[in-house]
Amino acid sequence: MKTIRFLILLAITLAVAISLNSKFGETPPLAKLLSPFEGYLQNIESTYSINESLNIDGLSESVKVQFDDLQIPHIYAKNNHDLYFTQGYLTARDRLWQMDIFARMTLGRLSEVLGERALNFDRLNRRIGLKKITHDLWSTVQKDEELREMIVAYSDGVNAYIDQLSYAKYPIEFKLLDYEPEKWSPLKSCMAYAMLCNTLSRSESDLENTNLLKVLGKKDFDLLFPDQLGNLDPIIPTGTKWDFDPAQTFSSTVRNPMASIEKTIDKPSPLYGSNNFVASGQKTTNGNVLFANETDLKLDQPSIWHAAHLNADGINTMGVTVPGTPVILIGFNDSLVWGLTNSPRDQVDWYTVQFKNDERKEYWYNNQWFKTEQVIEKIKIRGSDPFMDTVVYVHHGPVVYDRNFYSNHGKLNCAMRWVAHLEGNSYRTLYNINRSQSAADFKNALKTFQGPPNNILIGTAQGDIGIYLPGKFPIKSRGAGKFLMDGSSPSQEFSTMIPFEHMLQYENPEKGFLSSANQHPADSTYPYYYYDHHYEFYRNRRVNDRLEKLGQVDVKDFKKLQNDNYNYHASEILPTLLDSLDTTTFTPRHWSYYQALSKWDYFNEAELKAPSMYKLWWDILYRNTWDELDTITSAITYPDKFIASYLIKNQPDLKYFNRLSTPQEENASDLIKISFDQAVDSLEAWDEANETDFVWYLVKGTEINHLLQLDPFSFKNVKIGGGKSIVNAASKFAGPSWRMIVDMGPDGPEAWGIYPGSQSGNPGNESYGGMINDWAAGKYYKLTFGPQVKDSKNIKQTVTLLPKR
Amino acid sequence: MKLLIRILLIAVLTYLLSIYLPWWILMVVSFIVGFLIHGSGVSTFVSGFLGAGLVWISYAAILDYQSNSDFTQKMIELFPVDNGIYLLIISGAIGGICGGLAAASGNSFKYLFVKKQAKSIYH
Repeated sequence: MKTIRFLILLAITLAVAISLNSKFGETPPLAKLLSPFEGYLQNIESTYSINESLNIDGLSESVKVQFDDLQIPHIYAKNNHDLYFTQGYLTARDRLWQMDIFARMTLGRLSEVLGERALNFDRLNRRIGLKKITHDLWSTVQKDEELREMIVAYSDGVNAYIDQLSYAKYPIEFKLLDYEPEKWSPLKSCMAYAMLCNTLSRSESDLENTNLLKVLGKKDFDLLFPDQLGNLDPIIPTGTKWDFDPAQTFSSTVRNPMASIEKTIDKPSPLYGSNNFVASGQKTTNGNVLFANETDLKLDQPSIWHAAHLNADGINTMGVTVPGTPVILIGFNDSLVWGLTNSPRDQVDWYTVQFKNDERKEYWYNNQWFKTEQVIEKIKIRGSDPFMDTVVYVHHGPVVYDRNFYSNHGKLNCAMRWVAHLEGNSYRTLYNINRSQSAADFKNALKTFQGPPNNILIGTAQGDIGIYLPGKFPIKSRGAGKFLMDGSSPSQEFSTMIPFEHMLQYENPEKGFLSSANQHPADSTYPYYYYDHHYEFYRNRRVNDRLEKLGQVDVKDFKKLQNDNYNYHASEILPTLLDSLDTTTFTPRHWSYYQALSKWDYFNEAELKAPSMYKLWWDILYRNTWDELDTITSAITYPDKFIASYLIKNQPDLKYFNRLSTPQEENASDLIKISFDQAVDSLEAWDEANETDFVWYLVKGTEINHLLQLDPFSFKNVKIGGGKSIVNAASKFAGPSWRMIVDMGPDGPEAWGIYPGSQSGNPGNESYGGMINDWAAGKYYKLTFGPQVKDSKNIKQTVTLLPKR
Repeated sequence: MKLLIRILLIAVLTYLLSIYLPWWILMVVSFIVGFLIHGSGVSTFVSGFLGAGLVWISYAAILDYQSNSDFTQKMIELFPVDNGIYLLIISGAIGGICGGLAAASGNSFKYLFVKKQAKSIYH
């Protein structure tokens, strides 16, 4: 009896203990999480909580680190090894979980910690080659002694941090998801390249274009999706003479198989973009080069960027980088400042593949059978058996679409040819840029730049300004790569690249400024064919208009321009829309809507209602216009709003303005009126259903979400104006992820910066997300740099890292 | 008296050992104390519950109060309750239940070796 009683009691006790120590579905292990000794309460930390003096195994000499009021570390090391070791250690301290999850995303290992729900994501990322690109980069980098040392030192620094970490100090996300931080590795420090290529050079719509071409025919396709249209205000100013003879271009006719593809893989959002602009000394009030850059990316917590100031022999550079990556990606040093915007170029091409039989060991190419290569990707899944994914490779690249993945009823085999798959070493470029002393050094560094394509803008202390579009770009025949292509024919391929000497560039222009904002790189006289499915038409023109009008500029002007909320699109089309309305039929609700928009000055300020009213009307009009495309069952994209606006103005009788759902024939003007009525009704419905005002920032609802989409760690309805295609490009999920302004004075640079987040990615840190409100309000922080760092009142804490004896 | 001694022993040992060892050390502590200073099932359960539970809830409350941070409130939003104070209570309750069960188990284990039938609620 006693024994049974004991056993029952013991069983209950153990069962309770084990269940409180385990994760059930989404519920974390409660006792571990809630124990005050090791649970979430141990993640609470004050802003400056690091010890004044640390002994760390792996340093060769002592390193001094000063933290400024933004918690940016200013690292003073006596050699490169200690510099990058310390950077790794401190980045891990701020962002260890983010680094871990980034590496898992890139290497296709998310399912290991998130389970089945991440499987398709992992499969996609492995199939398109993010894992392979990262492995390839690491093997390239290993051959470069300096780079290898840098990356290994950084990785050792991260591991030194992990090694001293007890469960109590694990970032909260590890506790919530119940897994342990894995050792860092130099391979993982190569992930940012694949990540950034995935965001910046994988955007394409080849298969969607193929579907559209099949349904619409060539004439209509070209009308709705033209390569170039009107005054594009390209990056290299119109009229620039090309001082080179183009290398031989292919002249073979492009053959596009007429397929119909129902579903296509996920692609990066076309909302991502960026602006940068620079004024030379002749255009600034103080005579110094003045520079600005902001990168519009998905807004997450922790932020994609982490700031640092690196000092050692031969380097004194400050800026931001992706956690896990030792080089500064955007920043400045004593001699120059550089910044990036994405330069959209079609870098992905799709080829049909015909296998000999179901074994898929041979494929048809150049009138004979060639051998394929099969790679089995083993994806471990938490809570279930591993998934084996067979990926077939042909000479173009991986067959991403096949019978096992987006098979489209087993009909389609599509191989992906992506420039990012080619061997390259952009790491070397950034390493050299970090140390460049002049425009000449800088240009030299670009020679090893592989991609992803960026408009790289610089300004130097000597007074030079320049913009460069380096990277690998295949020489293509006109129209190539726009649609799915025939993979069996060698005539459809391109193997030569545009020579480095023919790189698009522009230096020290007479007008005294340069800019870029993801628009077309060059006008139609550029001798090489280029294409992308999505170019910016508005931000570029706004930036250039302002710089032209402003005359002499100073830092205040640049801050204002970076936060400019002018809705260029509305300014061009709204007058036409308003003119099309018939005011004699208006109800009072129509009148108030109409008057609000007539009085509007086209600025998308956060607390105005007019931008929301405009957006509502435009969106309805846009949807009504393309109702014909809604009937297409295969995957497609929709025309750019610039094209839609152009057609409203110039071809109002186009058949697309007719609505399929009504017997009448409508033209653009009819559709504008109908859409206006619908907008007025929608607004009335909003007013009835919602407590909140129809003000822009609430309607837009900019969100900065935690990477795990945990609401308490996210920021919703951030009070910021702007929007898509506006210089202050804060849309719902994307926006200015790093704003930087630098004045390149003769006594060293003066810099300002801000990003929506905080250096610490710990939701329990008192500084978590601390810069978001100031960022939304358009404020900047002075970045402490140069000789003034040591005694600056901005320095809040000084820490000495000592080698362990 | 025995009850008080058990509570005190469990509380002090739980606090000291939890700083270095995983959370379930409180169960080991409670089991051993329940084994060494035995009594009725209810009494040992209560001592484990109060000894471990009070340490957890008060340490949790102190950390939360000292930090001047709203992190507890953020954490509670991850759960289907709304006030941060509940998280501290749940924390205490988990510590308490684990401590109580372990102490009662330890006590019950002791009875396996006790020849004379002691007074117990089960009789």
